[in-house]
Amino acid sequence: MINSVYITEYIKNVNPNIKTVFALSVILSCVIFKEPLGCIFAMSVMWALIIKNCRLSRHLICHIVLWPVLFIAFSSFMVAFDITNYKGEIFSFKIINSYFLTVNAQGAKKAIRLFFTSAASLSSMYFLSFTTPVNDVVYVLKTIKCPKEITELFMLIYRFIFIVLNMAHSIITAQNCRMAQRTFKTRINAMALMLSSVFVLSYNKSLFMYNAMLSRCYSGDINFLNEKYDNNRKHVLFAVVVVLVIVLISALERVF
Amino acid sequence: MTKKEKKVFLLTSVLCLFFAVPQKAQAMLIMEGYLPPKDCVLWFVLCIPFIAAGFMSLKKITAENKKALIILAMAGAFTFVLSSLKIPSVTGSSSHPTGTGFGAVIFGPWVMSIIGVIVLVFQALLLAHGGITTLGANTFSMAVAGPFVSYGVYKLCRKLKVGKFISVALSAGLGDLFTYCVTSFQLSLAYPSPNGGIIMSMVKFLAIFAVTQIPLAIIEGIITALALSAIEKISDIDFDNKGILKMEA
Amino acid sequence: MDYIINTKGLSYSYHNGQKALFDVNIAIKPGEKTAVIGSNGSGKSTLFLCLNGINKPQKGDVFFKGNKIDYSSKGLLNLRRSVGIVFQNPDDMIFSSSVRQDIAFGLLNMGFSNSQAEEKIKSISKFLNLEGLLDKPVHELSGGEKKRVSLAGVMVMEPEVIILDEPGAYLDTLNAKTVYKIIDSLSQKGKTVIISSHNMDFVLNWADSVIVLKEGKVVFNGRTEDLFLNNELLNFAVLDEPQIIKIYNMLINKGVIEAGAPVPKNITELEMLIK
Repeated sequence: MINSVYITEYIKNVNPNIKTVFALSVILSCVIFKEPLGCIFAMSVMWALIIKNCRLSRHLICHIVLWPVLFIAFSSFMVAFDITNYKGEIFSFKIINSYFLTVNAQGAKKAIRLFFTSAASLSSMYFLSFTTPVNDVVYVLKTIKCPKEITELFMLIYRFIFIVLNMAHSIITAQNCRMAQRTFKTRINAMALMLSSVFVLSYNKSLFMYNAMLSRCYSGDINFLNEKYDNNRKHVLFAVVVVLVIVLISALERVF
Repeated sequence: MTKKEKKVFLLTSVLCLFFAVPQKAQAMLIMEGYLPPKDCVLWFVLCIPFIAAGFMSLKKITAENKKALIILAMAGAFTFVLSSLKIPSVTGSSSHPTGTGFGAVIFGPWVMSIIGVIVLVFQALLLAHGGITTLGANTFSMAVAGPFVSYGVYKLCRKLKVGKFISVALSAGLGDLFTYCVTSFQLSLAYPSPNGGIIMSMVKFLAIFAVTQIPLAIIEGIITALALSAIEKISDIDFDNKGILKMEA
Repeated sequence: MDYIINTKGLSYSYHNGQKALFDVNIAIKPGEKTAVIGSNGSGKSTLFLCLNGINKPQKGDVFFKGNKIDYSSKGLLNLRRSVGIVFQNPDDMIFSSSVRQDIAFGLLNMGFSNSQAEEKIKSISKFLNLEGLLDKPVHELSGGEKKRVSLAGVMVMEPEVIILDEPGAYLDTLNAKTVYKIIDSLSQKGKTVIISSHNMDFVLNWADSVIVLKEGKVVFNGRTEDLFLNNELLNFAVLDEPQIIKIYNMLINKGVIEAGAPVPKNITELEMLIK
């Protein structure tokens, strides 16, 4: 998963509020203007920051990065297609009677803009995900005065995800060692049994966890230690400049 | 190859890729940057009453029972893991279940809306599935529409004295299907066809997703029903339709 | 005699009606090193949860410093400041997103400020060699590291009594040795330490007294030497003899050492006996 990426001390210490607002501002600029050049600039800046501050493994790039990008490409392609009762400018395929599957110039243009917008937004989200550990996301939630029940639930779910994942993987491995993948029927049965076991184990584990919390004087509120971050104005300036440049490029592209 | 044969080959290849890639990547979540700003805002606003009600429900449950927060957190983790696992599909490949039916039947739809939002945030941050600007749209389809339909179908079936296994299977399957219909509607609203408007666009998206999503919904229904009946057999968890657990014993 | 923790007629059943403890009477002195041993399912963990108020017994009482446990919220909070428990599986204890946040949990609940908590975390992480791990996500830790984090989370609260449920579980030999050294240091600091263990050699070497449970009942409560020389009792309680005692008995049979010689607790003492 994304959270296992190594990141430099420098980016780790940047205030998570700045990183979050920066990433969201870039996404919003790309989504509002949808201009390819602006989006390409946004993508370049984000990936430059990611490559400088994170160590990405080949496995991560293939599974977490490549597939979503391919999905965006083909989904955008799908947007270009239309069902019409006339032949398309770029592509036409007769389906039935007088209906055609077509691609027109307008559709193609829309698809290209969508691809770049989505790719740039995805790059910003990768920047946020890679450089902001979940602990820092909790800090952001506290800053925006998110209700404490939500913040506590958020933190607990994060911790429990790995416990439940481990349980599920152990059971799946044990099932596969006993030929659970042999037929379609055995796969369905194995998955149902795995889900039921993981659910019951998770439920029981949550009760143990509750006892552990009670033992450490839990009285209904989970208190968080205040983390310290580097509040450098240069970071804010950099973020503002990047967003302004994206907006400027997009505006100029729109005009010309 | 004739010109027509080349077109057919190209079309078939493209359609194969459409079916193959979504299964590998996304289940039914709309990717980051895919929706125009007004659609993002619209779906966020539509979610607000459900999230607010869900939050009230969560606050009430945790005030009555402090243990509930821990159990619900584990349920959230379980939902995340469920939606990231691969379930076998008749098309030979595999895809991800929504997990909404399972959670809605056990915990009720209100609390699932809150848990669903948090799980979607984790899916965006940890797996790059979905996004932050599309959180509203994804929440509406997967954390609101799906669970409510699942819960409604379950309750209706139980009222009509339908057996529990069939009730759960129908609720999970129909919840999954409804989620994909809502997602198709969201995409068609954002990208209406220049010719046929929203309806033609929705037909297009529904048709493309149908081939994988319908078998998936059936399989998710069966697996959910099998899993829940196994849970009742192997555990002494008290499903009493009160407190945290809403499924009747 | 003043006991720090004792029980009178303690009986506990699970919510499904299954009886776990029957008329348990134990008394532990301040600073004593006590081992609670028994086969799986004998009631050790259930007893520990009764001692810090998590399980409320249906019959009998639990006393802390001579006072009956007050099961009100305030009473239990006060008890748990003084009686800490470290569970067998560290994954049952660690629930925060980072090591630092997890160790801070108990301190912040006790009312310490951020700066005070930071100081204590610094000190305990140095003691338990966790300094480089404080900002690490918990799920990236190894088994040994998780165990030390779970220990840190309880030790930092400085309870008077520390209960450790199978401290060597889930650990390799090296990590288990590290944990046993930490337990020793707790005893040296004057803490009352109660452990459960299946490692009879460690129990013989470390514990002052031992309580044996079988099917929820106390079948022995006394000195470790008295238990491990009683083969009949060991067989009844389905317990293994420590290796040191096996060698000691063998040497007595072979006439190498005199019958009635003091029971050695470890290799060093056995060596001295032979010399």
